[in-house]
Amino acid sequence: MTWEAPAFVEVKMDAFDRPDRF
Amino acid sequence: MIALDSRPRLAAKARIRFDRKTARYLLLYPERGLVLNPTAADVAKLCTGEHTVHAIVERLVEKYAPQPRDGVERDVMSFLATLTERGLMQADP
Repeated sequence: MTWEAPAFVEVKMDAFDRPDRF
Repeated sequence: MIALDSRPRLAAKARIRFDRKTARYLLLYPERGLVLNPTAADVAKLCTGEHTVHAIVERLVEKYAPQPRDGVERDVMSFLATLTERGLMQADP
């Protein structure tokens, strides 16, 4: 696997599996 | 301030969930969410309050070998600081 810097995109939760864990 | 010997955990208002449609993890909090890239999800899943930052970095260095440790540590610390500033992460001493 290739490491990339942790990143995110913020979204509005407006108009899920509770999971491959370590 | 999160240090290498801190034990970070998600804030009470935050939950990590996997969205099957996008195959991405999201960090959910009231009325908003953060769509995480794979390494961000790896870090967030390890922030249970059990592991120190040092231990989290070690796990990731092992998973993403041969990635140099210094870069992983720097990126993890930066990511945790960002989440802390947003009130989504807290660290136990």
